[in-house]
Amino acid sequence: MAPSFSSAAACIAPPLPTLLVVPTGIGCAIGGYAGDALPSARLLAAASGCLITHPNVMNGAALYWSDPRIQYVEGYSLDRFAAGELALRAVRQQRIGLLLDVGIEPELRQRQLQVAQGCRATLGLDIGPVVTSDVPLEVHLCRGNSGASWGELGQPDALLQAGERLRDAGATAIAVVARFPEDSENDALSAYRQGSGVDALAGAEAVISHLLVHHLGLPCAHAPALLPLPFDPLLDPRAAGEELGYSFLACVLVGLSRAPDLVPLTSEAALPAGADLLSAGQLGAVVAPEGALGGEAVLACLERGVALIAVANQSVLEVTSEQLGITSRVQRARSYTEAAGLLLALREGIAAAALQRPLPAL
Amino acid sequence: MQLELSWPVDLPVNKLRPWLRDQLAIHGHPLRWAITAIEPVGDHRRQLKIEAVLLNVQE
Repeated sequence: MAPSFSSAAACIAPPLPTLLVVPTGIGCAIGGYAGDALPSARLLAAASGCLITHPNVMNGAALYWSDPRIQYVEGYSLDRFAAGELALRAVRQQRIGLLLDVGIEPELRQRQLQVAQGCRATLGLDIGPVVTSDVPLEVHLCRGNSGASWGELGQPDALLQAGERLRDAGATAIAVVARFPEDSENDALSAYRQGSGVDALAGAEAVISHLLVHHLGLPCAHAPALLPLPFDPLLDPRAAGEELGYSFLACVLVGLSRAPDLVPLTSEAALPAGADLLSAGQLGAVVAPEGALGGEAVLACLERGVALIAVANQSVLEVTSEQLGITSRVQRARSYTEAAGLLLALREGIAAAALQRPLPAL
Repeated sequence: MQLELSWPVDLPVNKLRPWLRDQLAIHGHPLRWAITAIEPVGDHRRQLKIEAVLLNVQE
């Protein structure tokens, strides 16, 4: 019998569920712009067979990519998942309720609705109903001492009440569009558009989605409503996805369309027998920037002894494996390409030391 | 809010997260938080800088 190439598929090890964290709002060189960590996520998904990551990694405003190996899990729920408080259940399709800030001007509001209409007609997404907040949400941007971006809402109750209306109307996931403050002359914005500095919107965006997920237990994600910026001939490629149109919403709708359901766990022992759920106990690895290891998801993985791959990915933070005292427990990668190789070695049961030289004797 | 905490010398890193959540819970429910800096302060002690968004912040 002649060799068959089809036998190659049988030699691939089962998926190694892997968490990919690229914190938003800290100016990561890879992932601090418009979904520019997406190519890395695609590679890690191919290496692992199952990648769990958050909207900051996947959202490229007008640009997006759907991969059945990638689970789109909002940041607050990602933290809860890593802590063993939530499991994930795969779905064929979510029904996405659209929550619009009443503070969005009429034409800009229509632009958001047109994006939703396009996603229904062209991508076949299940979107609706549409709910408008009772009062403007009043987003405020701020910056921490570290340089990381944060934010606040003046009217959080209005956000939560609108979310409740969507949930009660049958939405199984929620896309939020909030009016963000404009400051096109801002030096920080110019720096961001030209490839340096921190995304000033990111912190507030995270707070909005975190609030909704905490309150409703549904997959949620956020897109800011902003007026188009003036043309910038020096626009960095990493920021380009946010300046292709009038809305950041398309990527959010695509991501949420197959975001897994969030299943609360009182304890990991409470996982229903036979349930097709993904829990933190199944994680095989976590991949995070070497200088940003102080977030809750990474710390939760350290509690579990999940293999940590720390990637060189500069940001405004310097919370390193050395400062945490975990250098002996961390595999360091100089790039996401190298991280993918380390991940594949984990998946295939190959000791990473055997792939490097010198190889110390026992 | 931003706060500084001294990392207890006898607290291993794999117990750091629940300890930090307990410290933050004194001020409110932690919604989003991270260690943003770790500074050595001599005698093997480390000072943690935390930035956090909390629900129902208690002044």
